[in-house]
Amino acid sequence: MKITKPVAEYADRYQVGPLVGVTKAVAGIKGAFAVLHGVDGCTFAANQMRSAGPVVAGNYMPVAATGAERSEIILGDNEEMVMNIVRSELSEARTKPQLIFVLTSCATSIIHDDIVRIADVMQEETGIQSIPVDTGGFLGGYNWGAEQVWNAILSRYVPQPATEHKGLNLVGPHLLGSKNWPNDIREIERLLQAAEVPVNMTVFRNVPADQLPNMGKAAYNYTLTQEEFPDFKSKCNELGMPIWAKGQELPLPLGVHNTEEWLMAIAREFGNEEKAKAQMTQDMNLVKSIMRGNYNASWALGAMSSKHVAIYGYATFAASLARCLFYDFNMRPVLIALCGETPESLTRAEKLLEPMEGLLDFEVMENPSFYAYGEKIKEHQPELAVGMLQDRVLAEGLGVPHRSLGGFYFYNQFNFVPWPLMGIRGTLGLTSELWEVTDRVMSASELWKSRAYRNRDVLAEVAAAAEKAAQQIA
Amino acid sequence: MVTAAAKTPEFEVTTLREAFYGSPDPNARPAWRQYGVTQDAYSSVWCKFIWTYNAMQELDDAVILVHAPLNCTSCVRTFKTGLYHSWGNPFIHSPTTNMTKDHVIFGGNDELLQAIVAVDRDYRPNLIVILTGCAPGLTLDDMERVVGQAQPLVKARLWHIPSAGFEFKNNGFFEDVLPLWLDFMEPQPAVHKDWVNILGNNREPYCRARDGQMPYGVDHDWITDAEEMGRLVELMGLRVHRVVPGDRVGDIKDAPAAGLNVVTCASNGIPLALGMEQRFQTPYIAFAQPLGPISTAKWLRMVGEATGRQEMAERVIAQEYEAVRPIWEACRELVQGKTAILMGWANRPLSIGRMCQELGMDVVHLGSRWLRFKSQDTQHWLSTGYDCKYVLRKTRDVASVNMVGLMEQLGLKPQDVLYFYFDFPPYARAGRFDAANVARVDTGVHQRRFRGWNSRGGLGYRGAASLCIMMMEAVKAARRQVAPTLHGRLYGKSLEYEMAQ
Repeated sequence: MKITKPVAEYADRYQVGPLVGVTKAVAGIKGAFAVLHGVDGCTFAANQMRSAGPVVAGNYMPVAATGAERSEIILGDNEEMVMNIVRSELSEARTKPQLIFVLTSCATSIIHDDIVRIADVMQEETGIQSIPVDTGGFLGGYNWGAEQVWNAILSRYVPQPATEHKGLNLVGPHLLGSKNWPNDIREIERLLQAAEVPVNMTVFRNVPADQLPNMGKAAYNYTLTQEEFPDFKSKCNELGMPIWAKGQELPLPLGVHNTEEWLMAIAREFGNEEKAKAQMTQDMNLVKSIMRGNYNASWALGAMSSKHVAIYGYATFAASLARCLFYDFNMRPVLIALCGETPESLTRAEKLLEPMEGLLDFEVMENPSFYAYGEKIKEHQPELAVGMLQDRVLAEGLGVPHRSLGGFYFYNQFNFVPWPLMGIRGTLGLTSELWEVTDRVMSASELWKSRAYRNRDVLAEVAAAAEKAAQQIA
Repeated sequence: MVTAAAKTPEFEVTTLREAFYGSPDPNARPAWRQYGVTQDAYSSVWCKFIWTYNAMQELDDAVILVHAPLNCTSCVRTFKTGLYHSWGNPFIHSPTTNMTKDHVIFGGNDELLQAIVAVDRDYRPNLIVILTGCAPGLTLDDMERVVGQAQPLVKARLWHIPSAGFEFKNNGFFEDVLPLWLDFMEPQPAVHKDWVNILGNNREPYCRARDGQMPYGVDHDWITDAEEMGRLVELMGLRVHRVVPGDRVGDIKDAPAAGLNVVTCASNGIPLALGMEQRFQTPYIAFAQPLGPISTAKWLRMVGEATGRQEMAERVIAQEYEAVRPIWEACRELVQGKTAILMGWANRPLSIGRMCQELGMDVVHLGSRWLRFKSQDTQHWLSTGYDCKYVLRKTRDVASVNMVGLMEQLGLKPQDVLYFYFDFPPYARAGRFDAANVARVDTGVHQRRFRGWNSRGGLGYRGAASLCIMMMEAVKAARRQVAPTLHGRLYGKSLEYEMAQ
């Protein structure tokens, strides 16, 4: 595989910062409340992001934004203002929260508004656990933000190693990289349960605040992204529940081939392989019952076959998707743009693609700018592109039909059928999504427009107008 | 019509004029802290960075280089990619210096210089707009010096706009950022009296042919307000010169060659018009977003007066009104005496409110105290003589309004009301306030599409006719009283047997 490194002087990719990362992670805790002490634009994004995917995943978390502005940033000393906002919010809350996070944006971080003191005072006043996290955008990305939440929860709720450890924590469901992550995580949980893999907790999806101490009871933490989390890793080691290293080498369960590899690896280590096989067989039978002997399904799979695809996505998801498109759908992912916050995520994702070497000529781009990705699209000339909301206009602007499968849920996922894209059952969803874009590839709709029937009177008018225009030009 | 202000726990009913002059300055934070504190979802809006980016992204041939962490452009792309490109704006390339804590501590001047040179090398744009996020705005990276160093090294024109998010004055977009477009313009050797600029375009592509050329080579399905205004300008025998914002940088330069400016959206257009008047002595028609026969006739007469085409104006008025008269009169017969409740304030709701008054309706704007946020816009409308009932809410958000409570407070029954929502989402409660029992006119500025008619808002006679058609459809649909919408069932009673209880 050819690997293209990014330019050093600038970066242009979709990577929201830690304020969004923390907010989304905390939104998985029932009873949590987030105070977004920052400038409006950042808090706006954090607001929106927790109002879509996390809601479908089970929880609508209240937030309050302070909207710090110029005089407050210049003069600082905003602690009382923030606390008054929190007090006001709590006084009007129908249900009192059980956990408060106090967060910052770049400006409030740089001026060192004392969120530690805010959290301490709020906790003392209200009796509610209050946790400050500095989330200035320059401190890291959204994965890093999620890591701060996990560490903060462990520090606060798991002060020492548990006496017994069992099962896996599934860490970072919203970091799966799939637009459909709320349904995909449910499928992952279902498959693991079927394979008798004990799952201690999904960190965090719909976890009641009073159950947070149970986070420390897992034997291993399985991070659902290949990003490297050094602080979380060291914390987990201290608490006797290390990150499961093998998990960071597995693809995500996208499609049949990936799912079989993924589930068997996990079942082999933690569960029951025969149960895993039985569940996969059952799921495959479901897929067969819908698609086998189904003319439309055969047509769709035939249409997708051999199509050249450009992929843009978060590293693990994009690499897993590339494998799925190649192995399951016989498509040709010739251009794969991997986005990652840590170099390890890129290296690990590239390792997932190694089995495809020699079977397909493809190029991998590491953290490309949208411009560079677009230039490569022009070079590779794929029939279609699969990415996220944020590269859609780019691809379609280059004339390449695009379908979002990755990214976040917000503004991106408009399929409200609660069905996964992951797992063997998810191939039904994947096929449907891929058909939508393949159909557009196949359909010369511009010609339908320009060649739509016109009666002879209209044709005469058109001819006369064309002649007039020609005369004017002449 | 003026009603005495009556305080209630949730709504205060006053007039637009009283509300505007009684509202605090948008930057008076202590006054604002008593409002808008305790809501979620829309409690925060945009910062200066996003507003500035918003203004600049109308340029097709520019690259926006952002000196900030990746988070800033990503926040913009979270929301605006879906929302703002659907009308036809192209992908905006926005490389960043990807600031980290090292840059915050040690400064990022060198990295910025390298990024500018690299962007010019790789993207080869005509213009590089350089924006900043909060971080360099606080650490005071020396933007002017770096840009000055970089300009001789690159072919693109460099244009730095200080845009640290926290620098935002809450009316700053309209009063500080939009007028930056004037910096693209240059005095012209000749001014053509029959050339007209259309100012105030917001997100919509202008696809009407100019000088026989299609600007983007293709037409599109959804007639925009600027295109409708352009059609009326051409009917007057005038020529549309530039559409701002919207044209390319190289084109905007000669905007002052036009003899007259007309304005679609007052929010975006009046600041530009005032600026061009001051800088280039270009006169403008002080009547934005004409919508409805009376308003549009007034606008056409003003254009006629300004260009010496008064007779032409009268011919156009007669011809255009005749084309839509049956629709207009049918609508007026159906809706006069009813009450239009319009969500929101400023340009679009006010233009539709004025049109509703032309239809003989009572008009109530459901707004907020945030009027001064678009002060030039609102002042313009008041200066045209428009006023109406204005309902103030406790908070400044656009969602979560108790429309049932509002109707009760105003003494209105469902059949008396046409509900126009503008920003997203509409209020819906099955069994009480739903398109099934209260006429809901889909004027969502983001989502409205109406094939063959103005889509985004409405302008002129045809814009009025398109709204009239939708209003009549809404009134008829609401006669059913049963079978509420899915949207209403999500937030109200779900099933009809429940509603019957």
